[in-house]
Amino acid sequence: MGNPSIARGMRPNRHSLDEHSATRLLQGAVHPDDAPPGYGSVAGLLAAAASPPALDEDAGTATIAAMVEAIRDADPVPQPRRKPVLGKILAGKAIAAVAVLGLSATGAAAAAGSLPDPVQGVVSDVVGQVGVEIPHPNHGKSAEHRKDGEHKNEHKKDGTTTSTSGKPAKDGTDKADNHGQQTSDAAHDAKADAKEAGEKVGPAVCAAVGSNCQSGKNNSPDDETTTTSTAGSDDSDSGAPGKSGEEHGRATSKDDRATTPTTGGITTGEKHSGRELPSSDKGKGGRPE
Amino acid sequence: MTTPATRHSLGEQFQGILAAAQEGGDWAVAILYRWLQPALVGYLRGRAGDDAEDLAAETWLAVARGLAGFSGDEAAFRSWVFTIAHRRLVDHHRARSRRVRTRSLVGDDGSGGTIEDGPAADPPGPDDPAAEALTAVATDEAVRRIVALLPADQAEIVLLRVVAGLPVEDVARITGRRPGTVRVLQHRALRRLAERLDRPEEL
Repeated sequence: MGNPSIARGMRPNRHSLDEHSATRLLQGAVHPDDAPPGYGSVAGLLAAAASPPALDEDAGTATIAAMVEAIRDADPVPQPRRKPVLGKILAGKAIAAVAVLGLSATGAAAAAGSLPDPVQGVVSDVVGQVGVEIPHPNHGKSAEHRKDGEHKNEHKKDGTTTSTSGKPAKDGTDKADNHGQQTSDAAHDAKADAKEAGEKVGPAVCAAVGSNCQSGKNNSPDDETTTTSTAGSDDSDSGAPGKSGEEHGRATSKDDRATTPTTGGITTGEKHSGRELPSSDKGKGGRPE
Repeated sequence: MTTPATRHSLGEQFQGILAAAQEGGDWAVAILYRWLQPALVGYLRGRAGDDAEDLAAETWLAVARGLAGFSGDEAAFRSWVFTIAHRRLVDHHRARSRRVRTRSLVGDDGSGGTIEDGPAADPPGPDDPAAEALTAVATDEAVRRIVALLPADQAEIVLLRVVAGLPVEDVARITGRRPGTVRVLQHRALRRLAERLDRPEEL
């Protein structure tokens, strides 16, 4: 027994232990007499270790009181940290659906130009930077008025000059709140020049148009209601040199031979004179090209 | 002989006791304490000696603070309590290691000393032949013997398996090892115990 290696060699497999026996030993469930060979002492030791020791009641009372106090002082039962997975998925989908609907509705409204002017302007500017064209509020108004022709009728009724692309000028004091109004004002400012230009250019344009042209004849310097026009139709209300652009546009809608303003019909006589547009564009005008 | 799991089981009453304890019921807290305190002290005594009672009290206070958020069955509660105890034990060893280093450098009499790595281990060795002492040895003495005969990692696993009554999976989680590693270590521990107890003269 003095040499451990010799001793182990004399007793091969003395301490071999299978998994099941090991588990039972560690549970303290093996009596020393029932233990595998060589493990009787181990079984007794582990069984003794597994038996509950004596309980210190005095220390236990103090510890229990401290535990109760700690439990009552603790926060209420916390909510589960993790939401149910299904709830997360549904919430995410709902948010995504609302976002998609909102963006779609906003995009459609922006494309139709039906958003409020400030919002439409912002959206148009922002989206325009990425190559998507959305009607600008100012441009949209101009085109709209020019399409429905109301501004022409307005002009026709009261005989005053209105913008060719803006809102009808009821009393001539409309604010230049859009592009059309601004250009209309520019047309008014160029009145004096138009008179002279009408006299100069009118005959040439009439010669180009070839029919019923009254170039320069009716262009009275005292006519405050007209701006300039170099060509028109034989309509008695319009077509005479010095007429406003929008009236000119109305006239051209009636007469295919007439010319229309080149930039929304809001140019002075010398600028739009002589330019003939296709019939499909007549009377429409629109935004500047 | 019954298994520790059966001997220390609260059975179907556990959930009701747990719910009452979570609401601060004295009687329920007392039942939980008396249920696991013996095994807890046995486990801690094998690793912390005389500090086991204090560590057990700290463990129970930590359990009380986290009891409201606990949910699980009896086995899960047992595993949770011993997990907290294991962490307290690790902290205890770290703190004791620092104290030992400081004391060794300065010396009790103010003179210089030697640096000791790790906690001061003073497990009592077996005084009597194993065959004679096994039948009469008390639980504490059995635990001390296990700790004295085994390396620290093997003793830790054996105590958690035998004294705490935890399955391999819980022991692996508490000690940060794989279940297979735990099985290997516990098998080596049993063989080592058998060899040492079979040849007490070699101790």
